Amino acid sequence: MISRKKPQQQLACYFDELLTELDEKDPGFSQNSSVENSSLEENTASHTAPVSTAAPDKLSGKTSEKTIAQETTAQESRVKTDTVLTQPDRPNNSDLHDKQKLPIQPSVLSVTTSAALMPAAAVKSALAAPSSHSLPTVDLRQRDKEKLERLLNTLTPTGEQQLIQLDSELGSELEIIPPVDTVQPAIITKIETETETETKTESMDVPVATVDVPTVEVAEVNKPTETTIDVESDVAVPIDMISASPHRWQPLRHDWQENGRPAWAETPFDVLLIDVNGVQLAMPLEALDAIYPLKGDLTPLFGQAKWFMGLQKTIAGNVSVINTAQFVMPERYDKDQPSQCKYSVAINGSGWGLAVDNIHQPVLVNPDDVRWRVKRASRPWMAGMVKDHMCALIDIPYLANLLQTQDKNSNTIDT
Amino acid sequence: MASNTAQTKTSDDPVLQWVTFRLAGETYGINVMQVQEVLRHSDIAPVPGAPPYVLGIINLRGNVVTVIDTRHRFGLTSGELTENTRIVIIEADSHVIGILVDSVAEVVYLRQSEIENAPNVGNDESAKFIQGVCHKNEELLILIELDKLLTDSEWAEMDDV
Repeated sequence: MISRKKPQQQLACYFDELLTELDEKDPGFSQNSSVENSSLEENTASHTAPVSTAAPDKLSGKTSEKTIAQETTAQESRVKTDTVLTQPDRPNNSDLHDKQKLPIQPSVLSVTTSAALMPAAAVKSALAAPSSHSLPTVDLRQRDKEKLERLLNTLTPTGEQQLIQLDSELGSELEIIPPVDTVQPAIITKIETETETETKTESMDVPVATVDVPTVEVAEVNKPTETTIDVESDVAVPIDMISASPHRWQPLRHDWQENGRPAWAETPFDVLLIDVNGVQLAMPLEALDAIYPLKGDLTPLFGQAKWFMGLQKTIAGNVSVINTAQFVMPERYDKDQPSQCKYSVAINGSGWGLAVDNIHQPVLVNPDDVRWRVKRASRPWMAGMVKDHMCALIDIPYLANLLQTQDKNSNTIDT
Repeated sequence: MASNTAQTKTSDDPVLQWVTFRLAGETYGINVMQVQEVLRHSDIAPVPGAPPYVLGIINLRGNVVTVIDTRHRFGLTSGELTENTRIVIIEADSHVIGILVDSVAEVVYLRQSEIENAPNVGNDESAKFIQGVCHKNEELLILIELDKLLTDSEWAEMDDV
């Protein structure tokens, strides 16, 4: 069970419990007054009784080859002594031997213990007979103490992120093995990695790694991506499928501003130049969804309008393809002439597509470079004329809305 | 009249059976429960003064059955009679009629969820015959709602043929 407390609290709890347990095991082990650091050092230094060889090794900071039990027990006693010796607000490691600096929680200082009042014999017995105390085994790895010190200093809400980073630097982190006879959920058995911690975010209050995951910007489907049409100025490259999006975005607004401009034309916009029955037209690129090649795979439906070509099966679903030439300029359309349509351009946010002959490179158009039609009494789908290319600009959003309103089955599913 | 669809299992997404036939190069489907039988093309006796979509009548085991020109009813161009031409005897709105098709294909099983809505942007009344579309076997099936094939007045007119 993983504690729900923050790491600093968990460490504090651990030390509290550690000291409490020591009190229970050996009442004489703990005292209630603090003592100067030097006093303790003198006491320990004057201790002439034979002690475990691990003790002087530890005091000198050298790694000994003694048993872990002896080492840990010695560490525990030293931790307690250090706890008492340090300042109440902040651990004063400088007063200790450099090799003895260990992580100390300020909250631990509230524990009323004092090794200074601990009889020397008790210390000796604690060091010499670790087995007499059923203390939790603490497997504190030999870490960079500077890192540990930094760890303590950064245990703030803002420093939690640094904590995680520090943990990763430390590699396999602190492993505190709880005693068998007690259940210490407050003890962190292992500070997990960033990825593992995230999975338990909901169940614990452990600071989740706020790793700077590179945000993936979802490219708008409307805009050309890696499937951009790679065509020359006057040649349409045969393609199987230029782009397709299984998603249905919200269509652009089809309303007009007071100045006659569509809502989507307030800022410079990209347009796709197409050829329809020998006439060049422009369509706002943002209003388009995908381009599919026409391979004669349209399924006609009887009873439809003359400009309705049929249904085209795409990965995004059925697209109702209309004859753009017959729709926008029926007066110029010759039905006897065989169709030259090679592509169907799907309209964004609708199930409609426009059949076109050729497709050219998209160009950027400035709203000021368009002669807008303020009054659209006739041909309301025509937004204006692109001056630079002398071609009509199709108001695709309005056209899509027009088709949608004409569809009697647009909002019903007859089964 | 509510259609009684053949359902292999009762669930929120029932499986329906459709009899498919070919007409003017496209594949259509009708509810199998409304199909009585399929006949080979036989001599159809024309009826003077009948509506233009009525081909005539046939004698089916002593019963007079009116045969409808499905191409004309759907607004399609007329076609030639072949060996595969069939007359499908159907029951719709308590009326038994025959519809002429180019050929009968097979019975397909379609889930309710597989049936998609079809657009209807025409002024022709025939567009309302389309119940939906469904992709099957790499082609698009156009499902026909036989109950809407004729109006009440047209049904009454058929009875007078």
